Amino acid sequence: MNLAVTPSDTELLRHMLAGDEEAFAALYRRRQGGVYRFALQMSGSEAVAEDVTQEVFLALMREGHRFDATRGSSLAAYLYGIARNHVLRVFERERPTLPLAEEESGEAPVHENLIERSDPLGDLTRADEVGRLRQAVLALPAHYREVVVLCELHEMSYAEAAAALGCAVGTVRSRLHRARSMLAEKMRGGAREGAVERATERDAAGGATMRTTRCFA
Amino acid sequence: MNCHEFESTFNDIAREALIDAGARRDADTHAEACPPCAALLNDARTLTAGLRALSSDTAGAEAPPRVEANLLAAFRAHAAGLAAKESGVLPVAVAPVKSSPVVPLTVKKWSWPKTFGAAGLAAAAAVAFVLLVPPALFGPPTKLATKPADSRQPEPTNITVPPIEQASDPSDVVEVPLKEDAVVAKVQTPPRGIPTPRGQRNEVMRNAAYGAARDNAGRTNAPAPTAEANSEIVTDFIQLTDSGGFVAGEGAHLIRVELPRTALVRFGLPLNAERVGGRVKADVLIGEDGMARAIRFVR
Repeated sequence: MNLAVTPSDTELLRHMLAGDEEAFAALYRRRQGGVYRFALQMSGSEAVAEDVTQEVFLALMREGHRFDATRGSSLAAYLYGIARNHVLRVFERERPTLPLAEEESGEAPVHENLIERSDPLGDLTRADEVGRLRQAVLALPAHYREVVVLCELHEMSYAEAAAALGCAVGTVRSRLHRARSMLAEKMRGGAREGAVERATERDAAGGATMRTTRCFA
Repeated sequence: MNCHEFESTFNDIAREALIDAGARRDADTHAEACPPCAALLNDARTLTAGLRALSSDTAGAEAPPRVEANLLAAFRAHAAGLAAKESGVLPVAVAPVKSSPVVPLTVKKWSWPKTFGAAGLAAAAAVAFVLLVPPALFGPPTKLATKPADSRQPEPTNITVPPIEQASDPSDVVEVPLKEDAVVAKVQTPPRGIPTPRGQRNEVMRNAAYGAARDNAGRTNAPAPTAEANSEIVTDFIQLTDSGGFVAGEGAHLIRVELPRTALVRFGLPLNAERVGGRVKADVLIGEDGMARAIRFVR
């Protein structure tokens, strides 16, 4: 391979499709982390993430010629798109008997086995909070979870996430807004349990709890 | 700005995303005057901080090295398949070939007229060979290998399919010329109906390799063993992983093909620079679906 110092993804892809193994290895090393983490954060399972990563690059090997750089989307977005399809396929396989009502309620469509349990011995507050947040993300419906993973955890712009998911920028934006509200609610719910205990103690000691109302001024 | 308008903005502010400066100023002013919206913004900022912590928590996660190793092996096989396709040889690791072009193996396609025709031609060729070649060139007479007596299949003249597990049985040697560039030297099928769990795929490969080795041994029992057959050196089978590997009970065929010598490079094998333009023989293990499962090179 005779490439510039930092060849672009498209350049590497071109060499790869011409049979250059070194270009394929370089492209893999550059992009595998993001694809693996996306699958891991979507599924909560290292095994699924490993399988998905492998499938993504096998698909690139076989059908990489379908990627059209002139359309304006990046190869990274293309790879995330393939990864997303594989992850959703895993979800379909893993939860064939999930009740429809549960699916439509927008709550916890994720398979029980895919949720990573926090370490019960872990006593660090931050680790505990991060663990709770991870579970809250994994419990989001897939189409909300994927925008959280891409926009928040991978710090993609709305446009990049839209390219990866194959939807409009406005859709990404509204889903992210809704997903953040759901996460905030879940986190508040968790915090409320602790707060209720503290408030009960205060009430018992003669204190008062202040309630606020939203203003629409 | 009222609370409703604020709700469409506060997430972008909390995420420190790029927004219009005027909208940001209005939102800040509203939050100062409206405690519930200020609480909402505060929650959103806390959530953003938590999500960033979660992101950094998994920042170092990467696929294990075995994934790269698997993919590189698959890439080599894929590239070799493409090279074979371009050179017009058999489709080695290439796409879905439901009806393999190298399978005149099924008993259904057998026809007695063709059999007798082929047998006649073979006999004529043998007679011509005996008459034209000086007797001094023949080696010492040896016994011809025979087929198992209980074989139910019609007796072919150019194809014999002995089960691999009957390794001690004698077998016939097969020569099946094909059209175009592809040259099929030997064809075998491993036993059908024997479950082959995923973990035993290498066993299948070994069986196939053993079958081929046994076939070579059969050649040495043939009346006129060639120097080429006795001096063949083969590489290990290289699994063509993107073809899916073996599944339970699958049969397979071992086929001799010729590839451009450059195919060696694609499998990481050394290539003599002076013989780049030549061709190299290879044995390809073909599954029932016509897809190549593994390849080994022959010298």
